[in-house]
Amino acid sequence: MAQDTIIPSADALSGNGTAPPGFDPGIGKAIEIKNLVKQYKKVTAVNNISLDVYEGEIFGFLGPNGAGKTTTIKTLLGLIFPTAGEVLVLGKPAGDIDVKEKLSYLPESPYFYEHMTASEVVGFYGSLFGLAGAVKQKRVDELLDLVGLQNAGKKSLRAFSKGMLQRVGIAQALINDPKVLFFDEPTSGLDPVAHRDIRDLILHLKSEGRTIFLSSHQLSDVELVCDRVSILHGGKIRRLGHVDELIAGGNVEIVAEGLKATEAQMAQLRDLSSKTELVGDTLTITTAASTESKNRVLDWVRTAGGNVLSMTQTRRTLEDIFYEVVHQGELETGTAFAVPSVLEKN
Amino acid sequence: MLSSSRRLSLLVIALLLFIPIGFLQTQLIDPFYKKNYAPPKQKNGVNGLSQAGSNLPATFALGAFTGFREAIAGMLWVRCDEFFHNGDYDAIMPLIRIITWLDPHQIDVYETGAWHMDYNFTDTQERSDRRYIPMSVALLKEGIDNNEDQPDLYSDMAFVHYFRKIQDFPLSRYWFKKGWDVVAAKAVVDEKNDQIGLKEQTNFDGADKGVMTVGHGYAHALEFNGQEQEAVVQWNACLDLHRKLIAVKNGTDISEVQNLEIADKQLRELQGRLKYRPIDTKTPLDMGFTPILVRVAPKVFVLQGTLKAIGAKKFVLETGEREFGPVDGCRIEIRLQDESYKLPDIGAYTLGTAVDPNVTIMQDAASVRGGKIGGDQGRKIDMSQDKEMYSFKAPRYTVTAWFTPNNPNDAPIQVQDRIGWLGEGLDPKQKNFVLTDGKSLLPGEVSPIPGLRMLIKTWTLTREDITGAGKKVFR
Amino acid sequence: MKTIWLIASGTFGEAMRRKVLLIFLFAGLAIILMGVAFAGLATQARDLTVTKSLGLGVISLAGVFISVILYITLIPQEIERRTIYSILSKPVQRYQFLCGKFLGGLMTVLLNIALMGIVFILLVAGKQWFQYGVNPGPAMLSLSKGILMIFFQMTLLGAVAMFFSVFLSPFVNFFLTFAVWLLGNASSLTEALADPTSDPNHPKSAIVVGIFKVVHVIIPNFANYNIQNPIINPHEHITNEPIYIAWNILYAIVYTAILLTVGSLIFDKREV
Repeated sequence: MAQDTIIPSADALSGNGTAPPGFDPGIGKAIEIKNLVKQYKKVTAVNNISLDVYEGEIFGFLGPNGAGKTTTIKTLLGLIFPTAGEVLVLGKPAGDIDVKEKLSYLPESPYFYEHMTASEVVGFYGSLFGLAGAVKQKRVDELLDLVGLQNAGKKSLRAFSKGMLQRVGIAQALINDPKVLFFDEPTSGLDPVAHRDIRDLILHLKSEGRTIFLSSHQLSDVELVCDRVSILHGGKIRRLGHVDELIAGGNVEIVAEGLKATEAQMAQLRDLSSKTELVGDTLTITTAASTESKNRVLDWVRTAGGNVLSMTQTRRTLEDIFYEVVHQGELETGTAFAVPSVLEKN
Repeated sequence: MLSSSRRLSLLVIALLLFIPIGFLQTQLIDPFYKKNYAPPKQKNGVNGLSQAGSNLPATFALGAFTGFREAIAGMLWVRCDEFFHNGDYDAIMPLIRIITWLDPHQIDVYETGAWHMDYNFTDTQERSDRRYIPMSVALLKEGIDNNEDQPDLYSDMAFVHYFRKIQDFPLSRYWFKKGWDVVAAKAVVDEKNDQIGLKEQTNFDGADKGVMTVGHGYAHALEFNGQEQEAVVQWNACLDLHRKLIAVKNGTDISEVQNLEIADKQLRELQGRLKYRPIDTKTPLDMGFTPILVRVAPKVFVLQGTLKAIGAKKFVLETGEREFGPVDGCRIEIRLQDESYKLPDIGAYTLGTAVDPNVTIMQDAASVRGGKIGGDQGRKIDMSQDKEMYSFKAPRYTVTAWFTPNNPNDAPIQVQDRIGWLGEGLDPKQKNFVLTDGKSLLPGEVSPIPGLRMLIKTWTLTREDITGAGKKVFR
Repeated sequence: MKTIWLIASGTFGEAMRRKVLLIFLFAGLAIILMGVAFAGLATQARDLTVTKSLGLGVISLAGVFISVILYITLIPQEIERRTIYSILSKPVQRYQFLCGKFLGGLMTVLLNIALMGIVFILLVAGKQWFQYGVNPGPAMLSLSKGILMIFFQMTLLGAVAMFFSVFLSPFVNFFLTFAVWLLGNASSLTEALADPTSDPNHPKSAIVVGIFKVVHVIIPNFANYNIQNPIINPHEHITNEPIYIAWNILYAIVYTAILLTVGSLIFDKREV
């Protein structure tokens, strides 16, 4: 399963198309995106992406600004419409009124009618779901309690800080007891305490069995809470998989000295390694952490008559992968990242 | 998103709704709006407002098209008020034109505007500039066209304008009659409403205003035209309407009772005169009308001469006790104008309407005291001060001095008691006597009255006669 | 319907806090006050003519600015502030959102016009009663009719602005809506153009007449609502005026329905 190549192979992605560990194979898909293309006049914001999100998972949707994250979310919500492809939420087309009953959306830096109090705003959105009277008020109070605004419910939103508005946003997003939640940068611009509270809340929501589609570039959060992530760049999915899989593997650095390699041997090494660096007499060779590649490099060092001084495994973070993708994406023309056909079967 | 078939059907439904919209607009709303709210069409068929709009500054035109017609008219009228007080009369002329285009239903603008044109352009001796009269006529006619059911405008046209200013009694009678017809028709409708129990609509609104102005006015006008029997009928009609109004108002309106009393008194006096005048006019009277025109300086004249008036010094209608003798109070009219001048009909009063600077008209009157026209000094007429009003561009001028028996300004009622309504008591053999015989002999274009006798003296003067230096007497 | 009402009430609360609208409201009230206080006119008739015409004019102009400025921004502002995302991601249909916004705007316009109207009517009534000793009843009734017609004129104007706001920027919309308003006020001109007999000297071809007929019907007619003249000149009696007012209210409602339907169809496909 472990893959260490920068360019994902068909195998790698097909593996991630299955349900995450711990899920029944027969579990339903909360979100299905099939060959989604969103073309604006000159810009292709989303270029043929496909992915599934399973019920009950937290799916991290990563990418730098302009990668196509918000475009994809808006498509999933029915706010904008696909140029090509199909988007299903809970098995129905995006924007379907019945589906909207069961989903919720927290936009980035949400704005609410300022003339209302926190309690009124949450109640207002509750009314849109047909809640009324004591039932509605009870639900509103519970939610304000949940997001830590139990004492601020009667205050006008004009007096609210960004963090408090974000909490109101979460409360309104939960008013309909949603099955699927779309969170767009829920922690951006928050102080560390609020940040942590919201992270905990997201985990709490997952524990209640909800599906969460989390768009963010707060990679540490994503790494901590998400089951699976996809990394978007230039409108395409560059990585898709379980967090553990993506950060697993990594490389080894083999440092050797006393090499007497021929030109042909050096050319051979370039095929075996991802990077080589010669400083004086010392050669540092970076290669994938798989046993096979390690052995091949070690064999090569011996053949070339050198001594291995050290061999170090480098563990990667999501951040590494993110930067790798972004960096690679900037170098690539884009064709190299065409989504493998295997994925399209999902 | 809606399915495309659903979208199409909704679009079709929406577009089909333009059918009721078009029906409402063109069949119901447009005709009603045009009849009741839109600015009226001018006589030449062009929409009044668009015509006004083409002449208006952009801001006015904009306002005019957006529901501010009346507000702009109102504000301009306030501005006119200031001009009146400052005596800046010339500024008012175009404003009145614009205001009545913008809001054709502001009655007092026509009234005040026409009054202003009739009376307020004057020379240094307070004689009005009669070159404005055609505009005044046009404005009032337009006002009446736009407000056909308003008795006030008929009354203005008939009394202030044709009776007082132009002294054309047949036309005065014509407009009083039209006004009275409106009032009488309204009263008939009100009465019907009363009978079928529509109490709220039975306030005789309009009739109560109109019976005094056009009702009484029409009766007087008939009398001044020598139609005394018709005048009696009209007074009775007025009395009838006064009584109805008093009944409707349950006696709460004291002025209505007073109005009735006025009409009643007028009718009794007329009936008394109908009884005695045929007797008193039997003996022909020579009034010795001998006007003399003296040029005292260039463009300065004195009207003098004689008129011996005999009138009732005492007249008790109830008993018929009366006593005749020489009286004061008569008046001689004098008019000087270009020889060929006739009062023009300008058709419509427009922004471009202006007086002809080459026309000269002067009209004045001299009261007769002790048998002498203008008293001992005569009536001095100075036309040398106002070169704009009296340009004397024409080569020849007609000067007319006259005495009209049916004009109560010329012949007060006690004089009429001796000479009759139409001058029946005048001796046809006297100097300057004329039986008009249904022809108009007065200058301008005053309508003829059949059977009217008058005393008229006409001179034809050259420009030299007027502008020459030194004293010159014209007999 | 409940959803529409909810969105309307949210819109109303938000719109009433718009400072720019309050400026027009207070400017309107100030001019009305000044107009009523305006003394020094020769006669009672003239004084009331000016007061009434000025007041109705000011209410209608302030109403135009309030409704145009409000309606051109209602939808774009929701998009700009992203409130539309949290609302449209709820079980709210696009047409419900549009109608709710329209209704909320209308409540705002109604309140503004009603405020100015009530102040104006009371001031005129007070002036008639205290200054001239005239029963103010008939004037109050006729002024109410005029203000009612101003309100329905603004309903129609608001629907035009809202319709354009679905696909135009507020800046372009402002000028376009104003242009439509002016054109709709000059309906007597379009009507004359559509009348083959309007100018006997220049006969028109059937095609020209047909085109102008269509133009005359399609352009929302605002001039119809200007019934100030008989209000200002109370001697003018108009028979069956209530029926005329009813036709125009019906016209405003049907035309607004067309605009909201077509607007909803466009908004339904619009990306936000």
